[in-house]
Amino acid sequence: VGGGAVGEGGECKPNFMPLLDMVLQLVMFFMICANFVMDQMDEKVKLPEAQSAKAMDSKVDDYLILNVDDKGAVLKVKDDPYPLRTQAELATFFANQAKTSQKDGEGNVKKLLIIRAHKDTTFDKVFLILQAAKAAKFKAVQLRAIKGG
Amino acid sequence: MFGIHKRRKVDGASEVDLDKLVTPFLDMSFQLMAFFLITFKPQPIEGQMAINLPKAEDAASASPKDPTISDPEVEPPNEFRVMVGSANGAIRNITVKGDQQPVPWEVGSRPSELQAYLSKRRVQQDDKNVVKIEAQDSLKYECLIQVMDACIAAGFKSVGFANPTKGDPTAGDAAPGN
Repeated sequence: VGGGAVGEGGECKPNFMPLLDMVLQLVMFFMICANFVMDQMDEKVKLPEAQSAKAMDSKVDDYLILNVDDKGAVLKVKDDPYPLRTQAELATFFANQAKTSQKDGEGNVKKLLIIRAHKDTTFDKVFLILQAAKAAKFKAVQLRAIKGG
Repeated sequence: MFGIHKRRKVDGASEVDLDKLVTPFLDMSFQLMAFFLITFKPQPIEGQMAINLPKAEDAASASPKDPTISDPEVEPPNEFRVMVGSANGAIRNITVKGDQQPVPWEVGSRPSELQAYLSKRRVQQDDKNVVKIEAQDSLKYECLIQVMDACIAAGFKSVGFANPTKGDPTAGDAAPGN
């Protein structure tokens, strides 16, 4: 880092301004890219890959994210101490969610259900959740996957 | 930058060396950068796949179609039932059955083979292409997504699930595919 005025008998001083500029640019970049902790996303849930997975719709503001671990237990929030395991627990949970959600003219729940299931969980566990959601009149359901390819 | 000059006279009497002010600022910036560099962990990009919820009862059994009644106004959907057998959670076998394929047809064990089969049988109207996946209960979700991915890639945007089966749904009189 140089660039300070050098003259006969004058002192040489480094110019820190470009360095400072660069560092601040980098800091800003990392601040923007930083992953803020999201309660509903559980990083322990390893999603499967899918090439046809579409980009997420940022316009949706009324949604419910459910994480499903490798054993098929439904985690309502991150590190949920009381995950839902049985059909009865799921039915109660979805019924409560439906009560507090907005509904369309046909009585269907407007809220979008997003399922983030671990890739090692089995189909019957995921189907159990879908069935319970259907019974509670959830209509819009999305499965999450890592965009591959 | 920031309108800082190296030296500025204050009240014409004392001088403030701004280099000394910049140094802690720079230190702090480096600290922040180091923190973000260490904690930086880019997350994989997540995508969404829309599905049709399982029906409470099989629509076919609830309202059986009468083949003698034809409705020229309404075109029937190009519906296929994809049956997936599982072996230790992985895909063992994929069989397809549908209006175009009344006899179950064994397409293989790879989702790419299913995609090739379905892409030949899709119709132009996207909303008419419907697939229902009937998989064995022990099939891993990862494999299910692979099957679903193949269906969507073949142009069948409307994907739903049938009840999971205890045994292999493909076991039966499926004709071997090529």
